[in-house]
Amino acid sequence: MDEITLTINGRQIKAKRGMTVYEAAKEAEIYIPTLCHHPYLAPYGACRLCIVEIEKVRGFPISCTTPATDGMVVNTNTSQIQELRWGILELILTEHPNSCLTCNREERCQPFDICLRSVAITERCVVCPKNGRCELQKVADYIGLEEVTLPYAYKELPVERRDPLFDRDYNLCILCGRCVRICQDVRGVGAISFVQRGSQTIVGTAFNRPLRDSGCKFCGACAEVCPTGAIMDRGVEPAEREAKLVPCRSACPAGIDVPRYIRLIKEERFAEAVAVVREKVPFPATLGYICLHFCEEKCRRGELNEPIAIRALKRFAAEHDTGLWKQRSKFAPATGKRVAIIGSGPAGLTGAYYLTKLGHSVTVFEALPVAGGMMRVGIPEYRLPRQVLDAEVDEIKRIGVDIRLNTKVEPLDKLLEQGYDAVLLAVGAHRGVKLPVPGADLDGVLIGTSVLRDVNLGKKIRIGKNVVVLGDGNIAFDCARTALRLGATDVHIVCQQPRNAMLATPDEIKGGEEEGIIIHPLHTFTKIVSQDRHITGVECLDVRSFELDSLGELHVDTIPGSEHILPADTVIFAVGQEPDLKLIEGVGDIKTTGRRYLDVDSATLATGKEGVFAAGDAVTGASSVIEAIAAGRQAAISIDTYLGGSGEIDETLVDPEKADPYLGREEGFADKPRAPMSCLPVGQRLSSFAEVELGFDEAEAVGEAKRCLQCDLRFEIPPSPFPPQKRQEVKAEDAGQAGEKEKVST
Amino acid sequence: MTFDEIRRQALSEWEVLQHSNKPRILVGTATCGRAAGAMAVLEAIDRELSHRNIDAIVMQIGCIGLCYAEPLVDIIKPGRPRICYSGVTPEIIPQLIEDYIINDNPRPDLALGTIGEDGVDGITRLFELPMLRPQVRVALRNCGHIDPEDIKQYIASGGYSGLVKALAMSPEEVIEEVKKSGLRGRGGAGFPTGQKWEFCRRSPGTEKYLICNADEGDPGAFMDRSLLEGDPHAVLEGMLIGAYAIGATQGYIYCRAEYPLAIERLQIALKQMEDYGLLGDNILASDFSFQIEIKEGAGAFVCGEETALIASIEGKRGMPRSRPPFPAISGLWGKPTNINNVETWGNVSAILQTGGEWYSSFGTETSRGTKTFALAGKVVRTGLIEVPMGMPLSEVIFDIGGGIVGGKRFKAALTGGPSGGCLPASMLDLPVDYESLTQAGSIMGSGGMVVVDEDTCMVDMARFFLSFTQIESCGKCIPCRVGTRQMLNILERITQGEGKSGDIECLERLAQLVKSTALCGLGQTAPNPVLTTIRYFRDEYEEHIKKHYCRAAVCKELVKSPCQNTCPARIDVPRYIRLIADGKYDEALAVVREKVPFPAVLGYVCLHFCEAKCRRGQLDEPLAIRVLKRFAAEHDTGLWKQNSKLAPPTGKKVAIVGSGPAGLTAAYYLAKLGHEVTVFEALPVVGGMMRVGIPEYRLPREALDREIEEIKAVGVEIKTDSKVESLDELSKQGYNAIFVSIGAHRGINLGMEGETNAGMVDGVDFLREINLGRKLGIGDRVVVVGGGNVAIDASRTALRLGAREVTIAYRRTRAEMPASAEEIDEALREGVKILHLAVPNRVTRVNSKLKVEFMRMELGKVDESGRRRPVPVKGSEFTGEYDMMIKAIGERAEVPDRYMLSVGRGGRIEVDPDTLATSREGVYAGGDVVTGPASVIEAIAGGRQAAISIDRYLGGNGDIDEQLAPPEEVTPFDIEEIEGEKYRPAVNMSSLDERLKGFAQVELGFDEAKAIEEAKRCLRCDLEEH
Repeated sequence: MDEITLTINGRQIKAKRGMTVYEAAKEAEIYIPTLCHHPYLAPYGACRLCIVEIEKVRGFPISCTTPATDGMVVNTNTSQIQELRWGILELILTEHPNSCLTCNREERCQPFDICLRSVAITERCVVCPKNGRCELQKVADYIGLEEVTLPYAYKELPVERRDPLFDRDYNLCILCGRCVRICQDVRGVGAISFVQRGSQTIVGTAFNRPLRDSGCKFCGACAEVCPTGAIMDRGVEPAEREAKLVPCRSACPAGIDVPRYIRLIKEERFAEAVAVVREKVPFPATLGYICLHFCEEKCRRGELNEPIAIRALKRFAAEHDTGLWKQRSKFAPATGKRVAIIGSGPAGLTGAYYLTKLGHSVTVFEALPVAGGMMRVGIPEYRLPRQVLDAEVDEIKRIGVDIRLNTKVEPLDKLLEQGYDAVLLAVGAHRGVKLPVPGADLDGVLIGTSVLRDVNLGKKIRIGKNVVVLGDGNIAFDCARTALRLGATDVHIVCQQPRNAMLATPDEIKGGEEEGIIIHPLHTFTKIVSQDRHITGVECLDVRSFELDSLGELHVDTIPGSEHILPADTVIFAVGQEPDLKLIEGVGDIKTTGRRYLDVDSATLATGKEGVFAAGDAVTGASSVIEAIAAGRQAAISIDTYLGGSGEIDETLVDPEKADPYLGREEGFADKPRAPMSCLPVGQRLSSFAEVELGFDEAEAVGEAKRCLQCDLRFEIPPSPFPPQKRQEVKAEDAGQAGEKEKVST
Repeated sequence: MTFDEIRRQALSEWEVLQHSNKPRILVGTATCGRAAGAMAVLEAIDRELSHRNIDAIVMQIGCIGLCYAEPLVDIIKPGRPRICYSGVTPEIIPQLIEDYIINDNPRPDLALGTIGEDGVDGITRLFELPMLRPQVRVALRNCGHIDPEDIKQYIASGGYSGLVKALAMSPEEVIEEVKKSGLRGRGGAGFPTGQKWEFCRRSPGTEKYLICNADEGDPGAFMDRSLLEGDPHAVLEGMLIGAYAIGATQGYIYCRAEYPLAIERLQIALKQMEDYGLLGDNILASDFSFQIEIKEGAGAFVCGEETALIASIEGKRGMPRSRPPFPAISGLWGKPTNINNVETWGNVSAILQTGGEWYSSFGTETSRGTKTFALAGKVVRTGLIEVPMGMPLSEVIFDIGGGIVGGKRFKAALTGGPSGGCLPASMLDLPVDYESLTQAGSIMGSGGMVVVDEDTCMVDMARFFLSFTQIESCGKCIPCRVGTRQMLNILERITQGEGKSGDIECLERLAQLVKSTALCGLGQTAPNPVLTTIRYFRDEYEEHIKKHYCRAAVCKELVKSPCQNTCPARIDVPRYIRLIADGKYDEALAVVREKVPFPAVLGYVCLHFCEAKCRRGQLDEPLAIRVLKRFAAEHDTGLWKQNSKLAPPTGKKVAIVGSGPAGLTAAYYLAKLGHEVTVFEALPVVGGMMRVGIPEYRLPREALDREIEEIKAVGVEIKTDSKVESLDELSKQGYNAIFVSIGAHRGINLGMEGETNAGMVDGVDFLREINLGRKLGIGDRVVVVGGGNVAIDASRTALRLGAREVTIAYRRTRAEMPASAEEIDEALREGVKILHLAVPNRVTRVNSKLKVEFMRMELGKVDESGRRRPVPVKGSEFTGEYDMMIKAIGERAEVPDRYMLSVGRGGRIEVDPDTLATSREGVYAGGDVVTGPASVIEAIAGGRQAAISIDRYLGGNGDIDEQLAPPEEVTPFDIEEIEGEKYRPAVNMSSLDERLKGFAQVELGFDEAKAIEEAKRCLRCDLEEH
């Protein structure tokens, strides 16, 4: 290491050759104020606050660009420097609201307080969204300007709110150039630049076009480095920055690092991408087919045009798995502890998987003849091909999970007696319900979950030609589409909600309608009509309004006299499921919530009975696979902790690496549409349970991955160091020295 | 072809051209020539030649620098010297061709000069012209001589021999040669060129760049443009030499797109270089390869800064960056880069052609060689010049530039454009070199030199330049972007009359801040115009701030009209002129009366500073404001008295010492404000210099008497023959305040041998005696020494007293005489003789005659007054014989010691310039005793100020202004009525016979028709919408 020694403020310090004076000082924890410098960016030298005095050097060089040399003698805080810094800061503050900075009430004043000094709203700090976290404010406090004597003029620039994700208020801009530099030099995007000249200079886009039309890639780096409130992430409070700014990751119940695997897909490193998914879940492929992708609802790209097709990309990655992830998958030595898991759905199997890897001996008890729970008996095969699920279940079995099929555990007591150290109840919610309307007990009135289970178990069921499905969720659509495949010719879905409030995912609704299903939104059903105990139809009423109030109470306002009958020979209820909780009958301590679901500690998933945990639909009611997996993960953590382990189930299957900060320009980036998913033609679908969605090819997948805004990228930018709390002090003896070097270069 | 072959061919072609048997016509068609109409002249020449079937060679050449004389056409007839014609128009061409080319009449009346060894009768040699004689043309050596679009003419003139020489040397030797020349960067910073090259040569890396900075952006600068247009190869050869020395393979010329002709000629030159193997691979069969590309800049001033220029070439926004690293280490595309400006390259080729030692023989120790300047502004001869470094500023401005246009006073020279500073008259001796200019607060810059006269407001000038730099700031660094804006805000306020105390200090503070902390040269130098104008013209700033007064009548918000602004008493001139035009003479007089109690006196004798500033003067002739005032006074009906107010008595007593214009004015206003005023006059008559200084033929005594009566009418008591010996005495008598206005009545001695001889008298004494009605014996021959109005008054009075021959001896020439022009004219008409450039050296009295020995003088350097200093010519003594000598070289005040007042130079009482308060409480002073000999109107203004200050001192509000005329209803007028050239009607004058009989009035004023006619010429500047 090439080391040099220099003296800063009378202190001998060591630094590496090639460092600037600023960096050398920072290394020695000597703070030099600056506003334009940023550790992530090349030195710039615009704000001039970091001036220092260097012996034998004329004038006041700036420390951020001046190379440190051996034997250099630097003073960062002489009275002359102080004077000049005050002057520069004063100039900055003639362009930036500043009244609060010199107010003795600064600390106590709130945005809604009446200002005792009658300061105009455009001059106050307290109303600024960045107040309290503003770098300029901190630097100003540190430099300690007593008074701004030069007049401040509000620039009266319109606040730019027309762009997605950001608000830009250049009245707060001090032209430090950080945003421009990171956009141009680091990201290579160049969406913003300096425009105009002289005191008219502002940061902006070419021809003042909206950001989306100027090549912006919405990476957020500009907002990340802005020292004031000039560029702000819209609607993001500081406490929830990471969650709000990388919403796909935070929206995923299992916390899958979405941006990271999307980036790997973009880089055509598919096996590594799936490994990233595997770091959090043992069912990447399954999720790729059927995940409800809460991530996509929150995807920031959705505010530009359409969200990233995250689920489809996950499926693509899973399809290109080479098993690379296994290289790093770790197993703990056997602990000798035994865990029983009841139910082999996503929650149960996930729990089993992680507990096994942690060294416990795990037995899964499954009542049905097949493993997989709702993944197997709920979701139709045309949505989730069986071999995909089988492969992932096999992977779980392969690591040593013992799955006992056709083994109904009832009652629980008997199992507990077998000496398991812990038990996880993951029995799901398989019992469908009917609503108590007249005719619900007729033959031909079916329950959705039963229909799906029977079909998936290969049982023959009787379905008529005219089917009405009551319900609005994915199960309703699964039933309806299954009915079509079983030979029904007219399939209707009746639900009380308006179309846009239906619980089923848009993909499902779209798929169903493509296949000929007729949806009747805003309909309520009053009875099932029949003739000779044969169903002839469903009587419906039109709904005028349907709303959930703030307490969650449903208000359905029907239109009297609008009764009409939808003809049907088969009616399927798909209006909800409940767990079958017979197994806990007689077991004390395990409570239920109003007799419907298991009651657990929300953090640990522990039931009232020691050593017994519960997870999945049996706790939450019918929900999604990913939520069940997340619950399984939590159960594994809690049980391992209960058994004396660390509860550490997270894995690093791919080494995290720094992302390429360079994005480059791409015309039309903002409007690039979401890659459409190719599907089996409708005509070919209904004759079998063949897969409907066909997935992405490589070009589509990579193209789609390239649409990602890489919201996580900005978190690789280190923060700019804030000044110490205390004001700078000037050493009297420095002042004398400075006087001799008064000569200023021209 | 080898270069030698090329050169031989070029030379022989050149010889053929020189000895052609056809006439050659050279037209200067650089941008300056074109702007003056050269292309139309060129067309006219072509047309005329073909019309007359004349076989002649017509060539377009660059600018020889005589921009004021454009368009320039040179004609070379076989066997005759080249004759240069200036200000040629297309209309004159047929005649010129007929006269000279056909009929061999060289038309000396149209010619400016000849070029060549032989001369032509009646035509001076061009390079003997005052503008060209002092010049040394190195960079501009070929401009105006060769066709810039013909490389062979350049080669024939020695071109590219420097490159050939350089290629025979090692790069280190080339650098050594440039170092020997002492050449420093001509772009402005003045860094030694050889050293700069050495840094770049030694900088590691195989890929190096060389840039020619042709981004000339200073307002008023055109050196680079002229050189590129006039001799592009001189610059390109310099670049080749530099590239060879540095080891660069690629060069750029960064030229602003506003210079299309320069770019076009560069493109032609580059093409020719390629054709002759002077560009590209293996130049002149050597190992040296070099390419040059032209980059057109969009005209951002900051792109003249080298790092911004580099950014611009790279396609980025032209913004400077901090150095280090310097471009010599990391420049264009991060590679070692050397930048020099156009003129530097032009010098480099000359240095290699002729030698470094030769070059270093010009200039000063630290600033070697020559420097081009674009001389612009208010000089007589504007143009592009090249002079040795170290030439005094005065020589550049007065010898080469011919001084100030219209005989006005030099005020300042601005060097270095908006980054430079304003140098005042006191710096005219300053040698023009890097160090001296920096010391004076300015910079050399790239060579812009803008000269301004008294009609320029220095605060406004600073504002203008700052508004330029402020707009041209790239906006990157805070001190430059915000600091200049804040400074500009203050300057704008000051020029709008909203200046505050503390503004100057704030400007200085900001200027220092910006200078010390701005990123690049633009910001670091932007405050220079402000700092230098504060340094040298602080009083102008203070006048703007404290008195809301702009002496140059430039700042619109402060100036109603230039005439009113210039009047010391601020008489509303346009308003009363308008009333005269409307026939409302008494109202006109009332308007004058609103500011002064002596309208008639002023109508006869005022020095009318207003007329010098009259805008009509720029059109044809200034309004005869004084004569119109006299006309109004002659037609007074006393209307003004209706509105004249008298305040109730205050019980305060004021003593006024001296009854001249200052004293009486103060007395008048103080009495009107209710104070009890007594005027003490030492002489037996009232009126001071108005009575005992100004001869009766200029100011009729009844006019003066009438106005003094009006003053007495408001209650002023005047005690004549009452000399005040001590101010304490007055205090004892219960006077609450005293105003001392005793004038300057004591003549100044010449300080020569024999001054006490009989027959010698002081001008003021002489005039006083006559005006007091005393008889004085006057001889036949009288000599008056001096050049002011007293000298003229004395000489004309002497004539009237019977002297047969009156001569004025003055040490400078008529142009420098301080007396008013109309007085001099009348004196000459009456027969007074003026002996210019003569100073009496010794006087002896021989046989009751005065034998006066004079010295001849010649004019030397310009002094602070902007006039050339008279210098005695050795051995030029001559003598004259006179009966009487009147000394009139100035007057001084004589303040009795017992007044116990602080007295300064010239016996003048020292006062606070704003309030006229003296060192003694309650005592004020004004008029000539404070200012030295000045004018009646200035004394009146002093009296007004004294009245204001004394009233305030006595507890009043000091409001002396009055509304005497009825409110004016301005009627719309027809602008066409005042358009078009129109001169003053002649003032009626008495005949010479009438005049010299006695002291009857000389000037008889306007009759009504003439007065109205003249008043209608007024441009009504006060009605101009701001």
